Amino acid sequence: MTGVPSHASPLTAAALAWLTRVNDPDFAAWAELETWLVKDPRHAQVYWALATREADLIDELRGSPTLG
Amino acid sequence: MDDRVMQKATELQRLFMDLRPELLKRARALGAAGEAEDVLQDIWVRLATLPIEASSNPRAYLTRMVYTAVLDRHRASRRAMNREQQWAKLGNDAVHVVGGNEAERSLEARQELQRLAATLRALGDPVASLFWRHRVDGVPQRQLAQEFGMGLSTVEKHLRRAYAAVLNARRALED
Repeated sequence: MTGVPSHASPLTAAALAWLTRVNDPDFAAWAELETWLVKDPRHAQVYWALATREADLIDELRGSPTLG
Repeated sequence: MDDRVMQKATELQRLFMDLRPELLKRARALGAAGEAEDVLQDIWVRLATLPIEASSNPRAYLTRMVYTAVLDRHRASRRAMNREQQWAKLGNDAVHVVGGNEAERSLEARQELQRLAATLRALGDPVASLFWRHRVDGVPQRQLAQEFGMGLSTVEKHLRRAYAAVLNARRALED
């Protein structure tokens, strides 16, 4: 997948691609996301590991506007 | 809350009740499983207590709330897990060490922010600015495509790169 470093596994790359789409306020493909998440327990595991960590980091970034 | 905001909240609460079965299904599908009812309760409380932004698409707004509530539950359980691990490590010295642990955590948070800033700097523009505008300022990808004069798929490609770098993808999975 373009834009994702080669050390990321295909599963990680797929989860990151989903996260990139889901975090867009315009995202609407919820049914598609759900299908992917339930397809394999590892999908949900990796996705939520990344999504929770990203949300924590973003909260920190939002709390420190000087970093911009 | 002024009257207009209040009215908006009431409308959303009404729609929430109408869509309840659908939202419950959605929460389950997103992995809330046995906690799906609690997720809906979280949303109900938010609708009742938080100022609601005007939304041109209330249905989409509620669906997003389901996702955010599920995400928050995942975040909370992860934090609880980390705390338990901390306690297990501390053992009998727990009471003594807790104070220092707070200071240690805030130092860790500051260091993490510095790492994050360095990562964004290393990514350079337009990747870093796109990521900041999108995730910190909350600008939709479609609007960024116009602002930066690039295609939507290019915006998405840059953002994927930023996510991978910021999350240090391999490490995040080993945590």
